[in-house]
Amino acid sequence: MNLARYIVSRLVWSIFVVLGVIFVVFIVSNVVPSDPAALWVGPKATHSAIQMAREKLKLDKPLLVRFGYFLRDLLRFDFGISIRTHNPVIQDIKTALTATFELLLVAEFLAVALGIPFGVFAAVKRNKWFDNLSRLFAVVGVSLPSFWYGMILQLLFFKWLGVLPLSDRIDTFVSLLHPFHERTGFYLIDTLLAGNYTAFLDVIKHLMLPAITLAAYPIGLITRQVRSMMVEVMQENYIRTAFAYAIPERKIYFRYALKNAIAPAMVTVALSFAYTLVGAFLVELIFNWPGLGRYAANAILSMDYPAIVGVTIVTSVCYVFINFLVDVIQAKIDPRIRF
Amino acid sequence: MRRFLAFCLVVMTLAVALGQKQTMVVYAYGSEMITLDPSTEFSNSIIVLNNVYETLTRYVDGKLLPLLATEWSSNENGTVWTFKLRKGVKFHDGTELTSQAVKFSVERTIRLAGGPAYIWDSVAEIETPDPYTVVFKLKYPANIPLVASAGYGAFIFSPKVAELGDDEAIANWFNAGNDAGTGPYTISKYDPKTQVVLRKFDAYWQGWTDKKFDIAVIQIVPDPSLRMQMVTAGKIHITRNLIYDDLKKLENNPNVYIAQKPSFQVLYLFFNTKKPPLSNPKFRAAIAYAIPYEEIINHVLLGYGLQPAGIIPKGMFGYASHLPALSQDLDKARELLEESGIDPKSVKLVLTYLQSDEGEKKASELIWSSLKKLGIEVELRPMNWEQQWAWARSDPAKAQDMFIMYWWPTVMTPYDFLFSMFHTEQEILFNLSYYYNEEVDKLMDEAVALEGTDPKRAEQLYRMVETILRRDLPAVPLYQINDVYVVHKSVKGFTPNPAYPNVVFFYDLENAL
Amino acid sequence: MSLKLLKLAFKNAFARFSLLIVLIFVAMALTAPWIVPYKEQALGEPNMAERLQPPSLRHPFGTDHMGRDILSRVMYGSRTSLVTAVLVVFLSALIGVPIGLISAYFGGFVDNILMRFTDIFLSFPPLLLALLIASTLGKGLFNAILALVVTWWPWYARLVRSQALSIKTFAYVEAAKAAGVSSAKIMFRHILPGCIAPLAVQCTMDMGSAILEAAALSFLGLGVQPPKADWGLMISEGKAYFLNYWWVPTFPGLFVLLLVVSFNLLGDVLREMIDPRLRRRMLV
Repeated sequence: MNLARYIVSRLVWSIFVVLGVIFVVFIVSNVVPSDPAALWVGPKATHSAIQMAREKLKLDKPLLVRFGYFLRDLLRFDFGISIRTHNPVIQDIKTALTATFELLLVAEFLAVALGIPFGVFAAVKRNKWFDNLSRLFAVVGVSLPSFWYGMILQLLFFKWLGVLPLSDRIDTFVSLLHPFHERTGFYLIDTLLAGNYTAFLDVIKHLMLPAITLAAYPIGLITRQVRSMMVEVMQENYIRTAFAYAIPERKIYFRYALKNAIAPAMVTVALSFAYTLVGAFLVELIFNWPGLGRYAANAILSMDYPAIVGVTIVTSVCYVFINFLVDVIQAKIDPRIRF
Repeated sequence: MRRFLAFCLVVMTLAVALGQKQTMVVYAYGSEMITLDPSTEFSNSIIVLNNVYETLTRYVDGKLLPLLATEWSSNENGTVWTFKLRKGVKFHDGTELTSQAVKFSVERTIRLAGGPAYIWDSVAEIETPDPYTVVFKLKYPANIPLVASAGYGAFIFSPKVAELGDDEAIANWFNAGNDAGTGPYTISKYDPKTQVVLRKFDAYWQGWTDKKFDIAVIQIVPDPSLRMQMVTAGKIHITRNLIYDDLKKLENNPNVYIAQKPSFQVLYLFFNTKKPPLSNPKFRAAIAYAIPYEEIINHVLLGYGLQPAGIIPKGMFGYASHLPALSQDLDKARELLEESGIDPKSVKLVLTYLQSDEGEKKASELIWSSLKKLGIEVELRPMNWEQQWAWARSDPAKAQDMFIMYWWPTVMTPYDFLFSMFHTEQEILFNLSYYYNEEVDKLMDEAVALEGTDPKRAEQLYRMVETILRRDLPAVPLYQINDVYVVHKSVKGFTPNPAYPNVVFFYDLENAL
Repeated sequence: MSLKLLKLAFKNAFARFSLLIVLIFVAMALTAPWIVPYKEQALGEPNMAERLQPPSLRHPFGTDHMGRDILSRVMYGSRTSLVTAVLVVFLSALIGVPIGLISAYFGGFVDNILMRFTDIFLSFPPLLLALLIASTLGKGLFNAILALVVTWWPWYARLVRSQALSIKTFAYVEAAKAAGVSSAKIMFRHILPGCIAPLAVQCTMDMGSAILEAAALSFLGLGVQPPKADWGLMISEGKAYFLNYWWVPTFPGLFVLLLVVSFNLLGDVLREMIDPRLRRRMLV
């Protein structure tokens, strides 16, 4: 089967899977003994208010009927209204998504920028102190409980050294006194576009701790993967030949060896992105980051089912998409997989 | 495009404003705003609404002060109340306050039947004989001036909003961050999840001095440790709901001062009186005497609160000063346990409380430990509010055994407490001990009717209710918290007003610099 | 041959270190009720007079917000963590391995259905699914374990399936089939043993991940409930205090890190032992 047909079949399958996910989540979040009407009305409720909320949320209709309404709205990209925030879920998710993506991209960038060189040098200086140290760091990176690690960083850099902020994306006063237009939702871009350098610096300061926390796991993964691939590649004959011809070392490592090690490493990067998507959840809670993770956590903890379903769909779609990309890349590299 | 223009406007305004060195005060608050409709708001947004709108009267330290109304009187049996309105008060849209506005506001609140609408239940008709006189005709006697001072559902807003369209259109307009009030501030920027910016209303009827703040910001900061850091650093000026241990540390901090007052917010422990073993009154009494009240006040609240003697909080009229506060007496508890005839080893009680509240968490663990001393096993279940409440409102025979909940009043009357939590209900709402006692119902219903006309008799009746509740023990009060605010030294003039929970009246603040 | 391997493996300092740590933790978990300095506090008994005290000789890890000795509670926490990890991994394997075997062995329609089914589970971001299930089932350790098992078994199914697919083609399996040996016997006696090695590596590394995910669930309030001691719960309780009382969440988290690192290092060593290419290099 050629590549195109493989891609199409995986795509179709992915859509089917997402639908299955949606159904499962909808049922699960509606089965829980909770009271969405009470959530809608707020802490001090009265009977009439709850009754009105119940009607408005169509809670008196049977489950399958509600699923029907839900699917119909889904086709129009309408995820319903969040019972907790009273906003359309799609709006909540849109604002939250850009915040999460900005954090994710910065974290992945850090991970790749640090992980690949570390992996290469660890392989080069194999079994020397640098190798052992970086292997240790890599293992620690994937073993850290992110919610704890974030707190430790806050202790260090906010409380004891006082150089970085505790949480949020930007400082109250900076956003009040140096406002900028949120055109893309990516503050790094928006502040630069507005020429607002004070805000830009502030945004970077706020991004640092959460990004470092989130990057720990992917750095660990990438370092290990690159190192082990490099070690293998470097045993190959053509590398030994390159050494024999006295080609400068740097060139050998980065032009010849790395090029061949990079493909599987890219797969790891993509997979780590998927994992980091989930890790962002906990990091956002610690740093009060107004992203999808925090929104999802609040939704699940208050059983806000339209929001839960909306978030799950969006995250699952991203996740499925990333896995799909990974499958395709692997299929391209290794033709055996297509069969 | 419209958003961009609006944003430009804000930027320009701020730029101009800041060019003139405008003063700003920031209040850091822990929860997001959700809705902003003055008729239906029953949640956090009152901290915004009470600065942007005004009520006819205001409750301060047990007295009713004139605000939009200058004087009021009633007929003999308290069924007709007449208010005289202040002249020359302007709404933010430029129109003047008239009796028509009052009629419009109250009627809309009643009609929309939102959370706080019930406070106006006694009203049959509102008449406006002249532009500055409002007459409330009631179905039964009630203390309307007190009702009109409530922090929820008593706001007066401009009838001009009717031009916006139907009810839904008006509600959407409010919830988008617009206001139509007479208050000292108007909403300049509304971002419910992060920040609300209020700008001073120049034509406010009480006038301005240069010490008052031009801009007030409500900043949403969910993390209490962060709020503490921000106020000591002067990045924000007022905050509350800090962790008690941190508060103790702040007492010696020269940059801030603590302003506190006993609030009307009380934490109660409800017993499920319809489910064994708590259906057994002696067993309930045993538990009531096992609870470590003093330890909770001293080590959980760290002294930032007190233990009320009864259900009605201290400082409110009708307080049960005739009863001694419950105190821990393990010997008495063991006696009562034996008399109850229930074997402690055979029971396992489920106690639910709010997962996110530090005070409830600690108090619950202390209760767990005390009951363990009696040999009673308790399973602690921290939950979120909706699930906890949903469970309690389901079948009492299957609901939790013990339920911890805060109560705070909408209208400053003992009836708010007693009716909500102990009156017989057809459908379970907040009477979460499922205590149905006709005698108690009669006494409290009689008391509230007399509040406006014969307060002494009303107080007597409330005290009788407290005595019965102490005898039957459907619930016990655990503690009454103080409203504790931490204020930066650059701001003065602040006194907490417990009748308006979490509200900072920015107009009363002054710049100390 | 395996003895030589083992000897070589343990020349590696990492391997020795991690095995030691794991054994210490297991010993600690088993003997905790007898060796903790403050047993009642470890079980939840408050001691308000000594709240939030910094590390000292009496309380090497300090006390928490209810005055309880953190060292004792951290030691007790190792019990829940290890039990959870073992149960999650074991139960997930119990469900996943047979499914993977059946899927690989019978192939065709059965394989398709089973794999599509596991695909749905695999398409959920893992923690999200566990969170959803745990919220539905209600709080408590048992439900948290159940939630984790539901999210984990597909990975074992997948792993075993891909191993079994290649083993299936080996000559001795074909021979057994021809000889008329029952399917069940073939799957469990002939194919399964070939899968044990990568399974063992995965299980060891998964112990670490299970501890992390269980801690995350407890941190979010699902899982172990107060006043019991549990690492994730202690970190979440400590979060409100950590700026002024740094020791409250720090030590529980440190223990999580230590144990998970040890399991991961062990898994690494095991993997190197098993991988034939690397093994060749080790022996050369």
